Amino acid sequence: MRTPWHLWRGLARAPLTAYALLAYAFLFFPSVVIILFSFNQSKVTVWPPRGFTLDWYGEILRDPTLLESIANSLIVASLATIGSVILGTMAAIALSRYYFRGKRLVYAAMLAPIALPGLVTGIAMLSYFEYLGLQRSLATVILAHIVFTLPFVVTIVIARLSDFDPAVEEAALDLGASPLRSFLTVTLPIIAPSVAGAALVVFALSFDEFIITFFVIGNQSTLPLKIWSMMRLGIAPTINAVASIIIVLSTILVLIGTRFVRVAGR
Amino acid sequence: MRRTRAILVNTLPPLAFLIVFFFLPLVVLLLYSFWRMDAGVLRQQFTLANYLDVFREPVYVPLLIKSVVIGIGAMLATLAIGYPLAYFIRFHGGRHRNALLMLVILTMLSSYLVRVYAWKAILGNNGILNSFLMHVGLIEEPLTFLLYSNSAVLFAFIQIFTPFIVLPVYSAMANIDDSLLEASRDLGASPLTTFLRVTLPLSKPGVIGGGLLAFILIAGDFVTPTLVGGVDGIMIGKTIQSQFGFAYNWPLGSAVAFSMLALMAVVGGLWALVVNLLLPTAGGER
Repeated sequence: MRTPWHLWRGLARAPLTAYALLAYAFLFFPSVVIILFSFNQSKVTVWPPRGFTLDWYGEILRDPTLLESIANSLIVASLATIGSVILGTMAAIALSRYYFRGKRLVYAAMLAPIALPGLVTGIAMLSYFEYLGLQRSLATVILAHIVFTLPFVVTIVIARLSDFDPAVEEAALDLGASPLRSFLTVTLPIIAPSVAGAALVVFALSFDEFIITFFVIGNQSTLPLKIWSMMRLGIAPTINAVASIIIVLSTILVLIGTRFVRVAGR
Repeated sequence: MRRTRAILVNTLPPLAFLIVFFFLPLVVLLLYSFWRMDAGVLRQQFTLANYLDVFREPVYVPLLIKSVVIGIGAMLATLAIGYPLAYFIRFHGGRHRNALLMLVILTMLSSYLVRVYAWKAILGNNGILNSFLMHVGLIEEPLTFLLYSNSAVLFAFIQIFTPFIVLPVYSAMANIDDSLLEASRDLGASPLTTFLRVTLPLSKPGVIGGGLLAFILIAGDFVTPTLVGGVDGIMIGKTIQSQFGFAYNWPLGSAVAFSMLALMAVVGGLWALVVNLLLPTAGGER
């Protein structure tokens, strides 16, 4: 009985492995190309790349509007991360720990922002701020980013809390610890890795976000918006350099972030 | 008491935040779709005129249909790439399983805009692909059909949204107990039968959920069509964006947006139905 299975595994493996390798190549191809051309000496992005230079990275430092947009993105991503992680962790605790009426509805509401195209979220918030007469600024961008990253925090933190024994916390409460104290000394240390992981993922998502930001921002610019306006003027080697930095930065953040996080279903 | 308080303390702030900054904005957007622009001025009086315009004006219905078709086409292509990839990671990944999955997560979370930009740089008339083909002597003149076409849009979509399929399908497959597969094998089922009767049915939720997410994000996108689609590759999202931009007709734009959402809901429901009908049900289930 065993032989056909081994045969199958062997036979299935080779083409499947080849297919998977091709799929990975396809997924990574654009990023690799952009990083490669960010070191290209030529002003035009054509094959073959000629020479090696770091000039385009230097260009970034000489462009004050670009630097300002990077600073704005860092501010937005930091504040959005703080807000999203606090709110998302609270929701995750309530949803994983307690059974209550309307729980499924609350859960669905928490995940709703992922299920809508960014375009719709963007124009909805734009109309809303306009209707309220609220000036658009980096603050409105931060609010929007908290909304769209919240589902990620909830999902990541719930995954961790689901294999956490609530009895540990009950014990702390029974021993007379206040709810806050029991949270800080018992629950938080246990869920800290996944909260930190969620924070890094959210930071990367917010730093990159373009679609919603496009609608809710005022006069300032975040990095993706700046890239957008540069792109409309054409393909410039400086964009290759900025894009490479974003690729590398988000890769690092996500790599560190997911180290803390239990990967789906495992 | 303690319990009720804990539930309220933890659910109210995030819920209130989402209500104020997500659900209320959607309500306001819905209101806008029933208002009217009159000579450049917003009239806040209930009317169905915008929705009638969506059907009367020749641009919207064909674009809605086209966007759904592209959304379904690109979604099926991402499934064709993503499903085998998820299967490979789950059943042949061995001890590298987590690392392989991580690579997919990386591409999903890495900048969307940057990846669209990359396709523009690759497919452009003076882009990398054309100059490469000319360099190796395969073509003399640049191929002008690469960029600014529906196929460029489709191509970029497939690359960008494949990870959105891999993750849900993988996590559905990760929940399949190995003992089920062993049982199937021990009962003498062929590998193909095991796949069709056990693995495929049990991965159905991932196929439905991942496919739905990819479809919604693709059909409602405006960035990729704008950057690599040109005039030919226009989709419904682009018209909504321009109504909220220089065309400045928010009521019409939101009516188009809600028409799009309604269509997406119908197509999404059909998708779940079709997948449930077409894919076999797990042996012993129900």
